[in-house]
Amino acid sequence: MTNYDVTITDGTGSQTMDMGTYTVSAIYAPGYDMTSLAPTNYTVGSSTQTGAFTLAATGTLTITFNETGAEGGTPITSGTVVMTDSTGETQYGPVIEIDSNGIATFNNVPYGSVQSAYTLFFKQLTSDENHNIYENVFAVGMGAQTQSEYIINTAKSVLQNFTLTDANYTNLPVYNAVLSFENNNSED
Amino acid sequence: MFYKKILLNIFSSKQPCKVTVFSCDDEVIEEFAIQSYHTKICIRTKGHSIKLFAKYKSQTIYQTVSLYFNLCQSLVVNFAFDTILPHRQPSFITLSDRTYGFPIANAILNFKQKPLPLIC
Repeated sequence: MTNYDVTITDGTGSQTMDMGTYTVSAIYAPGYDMTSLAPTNYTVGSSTQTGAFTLAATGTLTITFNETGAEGGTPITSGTVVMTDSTGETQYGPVIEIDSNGIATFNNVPYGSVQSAYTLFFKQLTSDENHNIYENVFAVGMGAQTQSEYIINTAKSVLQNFTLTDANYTNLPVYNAVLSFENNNSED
Repeated sequence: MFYKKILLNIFSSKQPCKVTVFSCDDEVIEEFAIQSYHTKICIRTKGHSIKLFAKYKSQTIYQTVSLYFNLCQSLVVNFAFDTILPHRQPSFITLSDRTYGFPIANAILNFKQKPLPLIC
């Protein structure tokens, strides 16, 4: 019986095959569950054709968006994020909602090991009204089946204008003063 | 006329191959399938010749073999079927992530042809 090993690079491969029906299996696919290959049968007919196959992964990535980009920071309360290619121009899969704790969860992502991580790219699309989005495409090296990452969303700054007048003589501007504003929500 | 005992050494370039042996009177003496390159089979016949009909898929070969006067003899019959090269077609294969749809960067898929049905 004829046997072919087809190498896939960047999602595509090709092979000239004898006509007939084949059983297909994945024999090398880092980051993926090779038993999940579908379909597992392929028929070569009398003309050139394309066979489309898919593989599933079992990793889970949790991304927390907060004001520090580290554990414990004040989280945003809503937003959206999506998986992309390295340029951020091509989106893959669904847009994921960021919940009220600033968390977005990506299920079924491929993963590698600490020594050989599987790199994925993401782009934040929106943040909540009080925070700025992280503008750049960011990469995550999935080195374990379950992984957590943090992305910084700085608090928005809004220009404020103030007046200081004499309390006893209405509208008399105070000539020279310094006011201090301390953030009641500051973690310092 | 006496029966002759004939040992046929049959060589066939293709298997499985169905062979029918006829007497000179066109009666079927023996019918069998060849599973290997060389097969031996004994037959008995009275005539001065035998005819062999071999079939492999869509190919057939017909041979007439003259017999000696000997009551016991050994004959060699060779069936040389044409080698037909299988027709090959290019296939383009795509492999993508099932959840997110992006192309998988690096993988190897094995395609193992399923056994063809036996056709004699």
